[in-house]
Order: sequence, then structure tokens, then C-alpha cells
Amino acid sequence: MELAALAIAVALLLPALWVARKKLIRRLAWRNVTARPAEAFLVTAGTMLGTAIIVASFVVGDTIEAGVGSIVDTSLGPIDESVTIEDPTLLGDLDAAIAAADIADVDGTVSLLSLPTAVTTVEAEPLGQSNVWIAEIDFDEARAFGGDEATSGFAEAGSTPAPGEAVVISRIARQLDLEPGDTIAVHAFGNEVEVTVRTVIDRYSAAGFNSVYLAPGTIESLVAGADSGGPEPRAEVLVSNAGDFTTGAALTDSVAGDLEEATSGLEGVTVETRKADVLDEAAADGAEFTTLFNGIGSFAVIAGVLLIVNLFVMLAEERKTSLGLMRAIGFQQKQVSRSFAIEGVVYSLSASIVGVAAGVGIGWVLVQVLKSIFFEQNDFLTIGFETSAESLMLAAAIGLGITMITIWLTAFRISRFNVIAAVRDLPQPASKRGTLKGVLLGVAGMMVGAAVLWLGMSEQIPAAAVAGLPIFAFSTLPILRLIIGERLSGILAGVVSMVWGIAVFGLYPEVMSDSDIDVFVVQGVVLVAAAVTISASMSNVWTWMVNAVSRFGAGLGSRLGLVYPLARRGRTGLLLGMFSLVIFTITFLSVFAQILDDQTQGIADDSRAGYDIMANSSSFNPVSLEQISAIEGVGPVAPVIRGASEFTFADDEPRWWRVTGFDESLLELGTPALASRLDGYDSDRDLFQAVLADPTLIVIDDFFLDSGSSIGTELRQPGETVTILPEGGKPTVLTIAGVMSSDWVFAGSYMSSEYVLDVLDGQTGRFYLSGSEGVDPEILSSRLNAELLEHGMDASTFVSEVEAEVAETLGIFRLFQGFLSLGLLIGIAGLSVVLIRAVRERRRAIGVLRALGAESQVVRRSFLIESAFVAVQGVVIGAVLGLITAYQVIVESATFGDADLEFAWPWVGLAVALLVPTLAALLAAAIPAKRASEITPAVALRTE
Amino acid sequence: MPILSASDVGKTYRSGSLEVQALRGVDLEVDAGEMVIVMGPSGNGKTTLLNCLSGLDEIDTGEVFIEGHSIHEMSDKKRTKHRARSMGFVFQAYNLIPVLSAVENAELPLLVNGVRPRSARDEALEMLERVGLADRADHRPNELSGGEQQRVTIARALVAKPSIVWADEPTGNLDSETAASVLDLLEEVNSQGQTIVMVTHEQANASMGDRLVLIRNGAVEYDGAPESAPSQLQAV
Repeated sequence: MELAALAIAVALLLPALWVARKKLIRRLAWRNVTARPAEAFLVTAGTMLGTAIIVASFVVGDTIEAGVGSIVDTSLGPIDESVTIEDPTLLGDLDAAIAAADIADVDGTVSLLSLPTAVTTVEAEPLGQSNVWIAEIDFDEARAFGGDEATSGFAEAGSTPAPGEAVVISRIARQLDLEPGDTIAVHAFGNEVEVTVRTVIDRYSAAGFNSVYLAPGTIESLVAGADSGGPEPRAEVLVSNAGDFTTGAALTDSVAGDLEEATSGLEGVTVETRKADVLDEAAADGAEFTTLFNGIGSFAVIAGVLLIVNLFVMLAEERKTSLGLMRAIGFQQKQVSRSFAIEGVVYSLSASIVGVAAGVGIGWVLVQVLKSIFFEQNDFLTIGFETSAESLMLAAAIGLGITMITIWLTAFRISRFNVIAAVRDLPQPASKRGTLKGVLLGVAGMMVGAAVLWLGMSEQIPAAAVAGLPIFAFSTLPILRLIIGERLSGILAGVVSMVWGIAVFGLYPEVMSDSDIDVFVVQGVVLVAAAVTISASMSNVWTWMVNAVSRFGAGLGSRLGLVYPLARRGRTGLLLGMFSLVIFTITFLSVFAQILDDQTQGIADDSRAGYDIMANSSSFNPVSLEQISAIEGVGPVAPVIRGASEFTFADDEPRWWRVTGFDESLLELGTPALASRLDGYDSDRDLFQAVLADPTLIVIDDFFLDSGSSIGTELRQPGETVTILPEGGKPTVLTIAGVMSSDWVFAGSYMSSEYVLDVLDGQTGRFYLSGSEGVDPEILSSRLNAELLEHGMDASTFVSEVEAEVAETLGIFRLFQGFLSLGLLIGIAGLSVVLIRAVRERRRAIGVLRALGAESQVVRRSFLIESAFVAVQGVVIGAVLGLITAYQVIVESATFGDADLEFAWPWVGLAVALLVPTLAALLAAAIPAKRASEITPAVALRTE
Repeated sequence: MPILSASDVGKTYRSGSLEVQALRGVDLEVDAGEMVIVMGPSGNGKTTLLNCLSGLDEIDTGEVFIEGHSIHEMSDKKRTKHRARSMGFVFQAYNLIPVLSAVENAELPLLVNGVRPRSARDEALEMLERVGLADRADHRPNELSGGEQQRVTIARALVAKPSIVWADEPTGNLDSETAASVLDLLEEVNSQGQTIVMVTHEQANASMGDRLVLIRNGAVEYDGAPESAPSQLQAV
């Protein structure tokens, strides 16, 4: 990929460098570059922005990939597989069996006993943490494990803890504010052990696999007296494959097979391919986020590309007369195009080099934002700042390639200008040959459009379906123009494309159901191109507006401000495209952010079944119903059972999913809200009652097995069947009785408590509860956490749980919007560059106006109005399209199925999206406007 | 009282260490209704003189009075207003605004002077009719011939009924036939009382004015009746 991109960029670059050996052409090009250093700088800076945004996008991708893979460094190190055994007393046999097999690709093993517990500090106002994994391991063996003591994670840990001692990982030390010498209490199975912190070690490598290391025998003393049949400590042998942290994972398949074979004589043994699973998951998560980020970011990238095109089109326009003169005195077409191309190479090469540096800088800023959203709260992942030479090379090659393609196309075009028209700066005359060529190209485009549409519809490729008809419609322009004129044909093609781009989701849900972010990008481009075409074709409307402006005495400045962008439709269209695309996406995201914000309470209500608080305690030291009910202020309580199982739809790959077991008590105050339910039930309560009575019924959440997790993915419907595959139990076909509206507290699916306890080995210790009358749920949550600390109690209101989740999602939206605002910056920069160049281009006209008596502020005002006109038009087009698309996706289409989403007006987001770009555009125009107003008429009139 | 009175006007262009004295102590008076032809070799200061007298360019020495007002003592704002009210310009390169139609170009001086848009449009159309371009009113400059563009320029220069019209080589870009029609037009408006100062290098045009001013090396070499000018001076 990198090499291909580089090869293309070089292939485009080489011919220009090759022709640069011709001294005359080289000298002409170089003189053009150096004649106006400030303008050369502007072209380079604009081109650089385009490259920088591509580079930044790649840097974020690299960093995320490295970040999600960091769990290997922090929590696994040399651990490639773990082999668990159900009966902890057989751990020695397991270790011996693996050692005896002497597997070739294994370079070390170590046995480990571990247990999730609640840990509290021992002081007047204790701190506590639930789900803290304590472990017993021989530190000497742990240091030797993997073959390199320095990277084992135990290098600084000292000897194996003696009774009463603990070695604590830095993360827990930070959470409980621990230092060596502090005492902590470990709670499990109703027992408690007090130990003193001897050492705090970094969360690194295999040491990070658990949180607190204790003396051998401690776990046994905690388990003593526990009910038989309850959860057992985890007994396992950790296995390190040959190779380093990363390369060892490549041997996993063969080693796992050997381990299974070696332990086949023992009961209850499971081989877990820990590192390979983590790496696979990390790669999948990283790729998913990177795809989403790059998809959203591609709007900014497209804005960068439009800027590059705009800059070189303007440059060609400016060079038109001198290139025409070259042709007049005998230069060949190819010499003219080469001279322009060499000039372009100078700009694009320097822009690529600076753009990579700037892109790395922008990427760094984005990574800091990303860190603040996700990684500061995440204990297992660390994120640094990662980028690879390959990525930078690829990004630079893409930027360079886009620029070079633009340059060659522009060079080709201007070399074919009519010489006289070019010299006299007149419009290029239409020729029969040119018209025929346009018609032929149009026919070819129509064929391509039809083929793309057919492919999209028949193969159900949503992006092709969205793009096909607009390609066809725009390709008809050269033909339609001859029949109904330029204006009508533009409006027709634009309207058809826009209607299609908006309505296709509703018209063909079966084709569009599997839409992903790339479809949204294509849709955005189609809609914006259509809107800009319609706008550009409505010349009579704009002329009417200009006349109206004049009639109402708005002044010469306003009139001149409007007339120039209307006269340069191509250039204005590119600028509008830049603004519209970015604002389109920002508005679209704002709608969803607003929906989330508005519906926090509603989402919480959907999940809480009438209760206010969700209380979780450690499953190894669970709170009983009696204990929690006895806490002051606690009102009604519903115990629920936490479980999980593998499920599969038809022949799909089985997936683990959470299951919550419930009984009658959950239904006392209400039920989790359902988006849909099986026919024949009058209410959600009736349906939940039926699920209690019938173990073959299940209520699923809206993202069950990731259905509906991406835009356009179809939600599962009541009446469908899914097979549950309980560990050690027999597969059972379940009927989906209902689909929940939302599940932001991650309850998963609902089945009866009895089934989850008996068949899925579910765990007790979770409760839905409310306070007695007049008790503030937030205060009650805090009280529960304090009084049940030794049970690892983690109670919080449903609303605050949802708020935390919503905050994270909104954080992602903000990151996207931040990246998109870089696209906006490109739009503003583009506008500024265009205006600066316009001042030069219009020097004489400005001089004439001043000579005729127009005051300097008329000139200044005209530039400011021109800038505001383009920005406001672009922003309005983008915002309106963004709102329409969001409305259509949310309300009119089946994209979100039965999800209970209501369209929300993002007033604040809209105000920001409308005002900031407009004000920024005015600011961007301030300097060119001032410069224009200061032009001395006599000097301007001397301008060639 | 003369409509234009200039005394000791001097102008030096500076570019780095290079200094070019474009005007050296020029004295000139123009009466209302006069047509003054300014001639001289290329690069000897004709256009500079016109720019300085009209207030488009600054002067280094001397004074210029238009209708009794010293224009170089005015602020830029006042001078611009004065120019809008009292002057019209015809340039060699037409200098029409390319994105405006003929009538829109022609009405510019009226709009600058604050005339209501509807009235401005009517007056501009009337003026275009006067210069024979009523049927080309909605055409943009690049859709007009050179002669037509120059007629629009003349219409623009006259539409606000200025006290004085400055014409800088108005026929320089035109063929002889078109040039003749443009000059006829200027003579016609002059005969109706319009003051015109016209720079030209065409020998044949020397006699069309009431006075001939010959400029050489930035100084007035002759100022008088065209027919009285020494022939060797006219041969510039």
C-alpha cells in the first residue's frame, strides 16, 4: 500500500523533474515561483494544509492501534496462554503435566492461584475497590518466566511475600492511596485478611496480570468456610511461547494444541490463548475506531483536496495570459504545460515536506484530546504518541499524488487554451470539437453511473447505490445543456442527485441496511455537490438578489461583494464545497450529540425498571438481600443475577454476551422498557412475566451480539430465534420475546434468575433498588458504598451511570468535531488565500473604482461581504443538509430500527456552526480587504 | 475663474536608489468648457501629469486647484468624494469592471455619488443610448468590441455630469475608424460644454482641442493654440 502510493506519487513527479532538465522551461517556471514570493508562499501553505490533515489522520490511527495493543505491555508481557483447571488442588498436577510434555515452542511456565476480591484500607474513613485480583505466585519463578528477568515485571518485587505481606501494583496503590507500610484488608467469601504493603511495583508485563500479590496460603484462608458449589479461586499455569512479547503470539495455535494434548488426562482443563485473543481484539477495536475516525475525518481531507484544486485553478487563471503569450511566440503545448507543471512541483514538494511536519503536530494535539476522553479513565490501556515512517510516507505520498494529479490536469487544460483568448483574457470560445468531446465523455459517465447503480442495487453495496444515480445525473450535463440550457440542466442534475442522496435509505432499506461510515462519506459528497451545483445554476435568483440589494440601497460595496463570487462560479463552488462538507458533518454529529444529551434521563428510565440505583458487589464476597435491605434508607430491592453465555444466530460464530437473571421483584416497580415485543402480550410486564415462566424465551438488548451497533445494521426482531450455548450445558433454541429500547447500563439480555443461576452458573450480588420515601438516591448510593465497602460495593444511580456513558460518547463526537474543525480551518484558509489573490487580480478594477470616487471603505466592505457571502452560503448549505440527513436517518429511515430516537434540534451546536465560520471568514477577509482598500488608484491603474 | 489651476507641480518616482523626476514644476490652467490636448513623447510624464492633476496620484511639490479647491490638501476621503462629484475618467485600457454589464459599469459613478439605484439605472441607460450602445446595455465587457468598451467608458465618465473629464490615450487601443468615432463623441460632448483634458500621442488629434500642451522631460514645453505650436515641437 505504502509502496504503491509512493510509486504513484513518484510516477507523477518524475516527468516534471525530467522535463526540468530543459533550461529554458526550468528558468521560466523558477522565475514564476520567485517573482512573487508571498504568493508562492500562499500556494505552498494552502497545499501544505491539505497534506497535513491527511498526515494527522494517519498519526491518530497509528496511535490508537499502539494504544489498544498496550495491554500486552501492561498486563501480559511474556504470557501467551493460560491453562486453567477447575479444581485448584490439582494445580500441581497440571504444572507437572505441562512440564513433562516439554513443548518445543514454550520457553517457560509458572503456576498461579488468583481470586477477585474487595480490598479496603484500614482507617477511620476507609477507601475501597471491588474486583481486585489477588494472586499467589513464586516470585523467583515469575522472574525466570519468559527468560528475561528485566522484562518479567517482577524485577523490583523482591522475594515472594511472606504471610501478612503484600506486593501491590501501582494502579491499586494509586486508587487506594497506598504506600509501603500501609495496611489493607482483603475481603472474600465473608472472610477478611489484613496485610501490610511491602512494595509497590509498576503495572508492567506479567506482574500487571493481577493487582495484589500475597503469601502462599492466603487465598486458602479466605476460601475457608465458603459454601461449596460457589465460585472457586482461579488456578492456572501461565505459558510463555518462544520469542518476545509480540512474536510469541504467532506460535499460539500450535502451542495451544500441544497444551491440550499434554493436559488431556486431567479433568476440567481449559486452554486460553490470552495474548492472541487480546491482540486480535485490540486490532479489531483499533481498526474499528480508526475506520470511523478516518471516515469522519475524510470530510476534512476532501476539504483539503478541494483547497489544492482551487489554488492551482487560480494559479492557472493568473498564468493564463503569460502562458498564452508563450504559445503566441512559438512555444509548443507540451512546453507550456511542462513549465506550469515544474512550477507546481516546486510548490507541491515543499508543501509535502512541511505538511508532514505540520500533520504530525496536528496529530499530536488530537492524540492529547483522545487521551483525555478515553485513556485517562482506562487502567489497562496506555496511549503514547505513535507514528510510523510507513504511515508518514503513505500520507505524504497521498498528498503529493493528489497535488500532482491536480497540477497535471490543470497544466494539460491551460496548454489547450485558445491563444488569443488567453492573451486577451477572454472566455475560452466553445468549439464543435469540444462540445462533441463533452458529449462523449458525458455518455461514458452515464454508462459508468448506470453500472455503479446496478452493481450497488444488485450486490447490495450501499456506497455504490448512493453514488450511482448522481454519477449518471451529472454525466448528463454536457448533453442536457445543449437541449435545455446550462441553468436548467444544472438544477435538474442537482435536484435529482440530492433527492436520491436523501431518500435512498428510505426507498431501499434492504440495500442500505448494511451501511457503514464510507456510505455516509459518499452521501455527504453527493449531497454537497448537488447543493453547490443547484446554487451555482440559480444565477437568475442571485442576480435578482444583487438587484434587490441595489434597489434597497444596500450600497455599492454589497453589490460588488456579491457580483464577484457569482461571476466566478467554479471557484466559488469549490469554496462552498469546502465549507458545506465540513459543516454538514459537524451538524449531523451535533444532532446525535443533542439527542444523547436530551435523552439521558429517558435512556436511564428505559433501563431502570422503576428503580433508582444499581448496586454491584463482589461476586466472591457478595452482599445478601438481607444485608442490603438493612441499610438505612433502602426501600424496595430487586436482586438480579449476573451471568454470561455464548449465543449464536443460525451458523454465525458464537459470541459471549451478558445475561441478567430476574425474578418477580424486578417487576414490582416497572420493567426495562421494550422497543418491540412478541404479538399477544398486552404490556411489557405481561411479556416479562412470560419470560419468567418460560425458559425458552429471552428479552434481548438493542445491541445484542452487536446487531444494530453500526449505522444501518439491522436490529433483531421479536419472534426470531437464537441458540444459547451454556458452558457444559446443552444448546437451547430461544425465542426473542422482546427487544429493549436501550441498554446503557450493560445488563445484556434478560432471562429468569433460576435459569441464569442454575444453567449459566450466574453470580449473586447485584441489586436494583430505590430509597425509601424522601431519600436522595445519590446520597443513598454513597451510603451503600461506604457501609458495604468490604463487599466491594459499587452503587450508583442509573442516571449517573448513563451520564458517564453518554459523556464518553459525546467526547468521541467532540473529537470528531475537533478534527472536522481543521477542515473548517482549511475552508477559512482557502477563502483567505482566494481573497488575497483576488486583490491582486482585481487591482485595476479597484483602481478604477477608487478613481471613480468609491471610498476606500466601499472596497473594504465589498471584500468582507464577498467572504461572508461564500461562508454563509456554505454554512447554510452544510447545516441544512446535515439537519435533513440526520432527520431522515433518525425519523424516516429504518436505520435505527425500533430504537426510540427522537429528532433533536442542536441549537447550540447550530449556532456555533453558523457563527464561528462566518466570523472566521470575516476575520480571514480582514487583511485582504484592508490591503485592497489601501490601493492607490494611480498605482493600480498602472498595473498590467 | 479657471476650473483647473495647477502651479509648480512636481512628482518624483522612487524605486530603491533610483529616482525619476516625472514632473518638473508644471503650471497649467484650464477653463470650463475647454478641450485641452496633452501631447509628448512616451515616458515624458503625460499620464503622470493627468494622474496628479486629477488627484489620483500624490504630488511632491506645487498645488492643484479644481473648482477652487486645493485637492492635494484634502484628506483621501474628501478628495475621493470630490473626484466622484467633479471628475470623469476615460482610460486607454477601458478599465471596465469585468463582472458587471455595460449599464452596471456606466451607473457606477452615480451609485458612488449616492444616487438612488433606480434613477442611476435610468440615467446610465440614457447615457448608453447617447453613446449608441442602448442595445448592448446588458452585455459584459468581454462581450463587447474595443470601440464599444471605450464608449461604455465614455458613458461612465459623463454620466455623473462631472466638471472635468480626464481622458488618457482614449484611442490608443482602437483602430483608426473606431478611434475616429470615439473622438467624434468626445468632441460632441465638449461642444455641449463639457471640459475635457485628453492625453494623446496621435499627431492627428493635436488640432481637435482648444489648446495644445506639449510635455517633454516632465516640463511644459508649449501651451497654446494647436495651430500656433512650432512644428518641430509637435513632432513628438
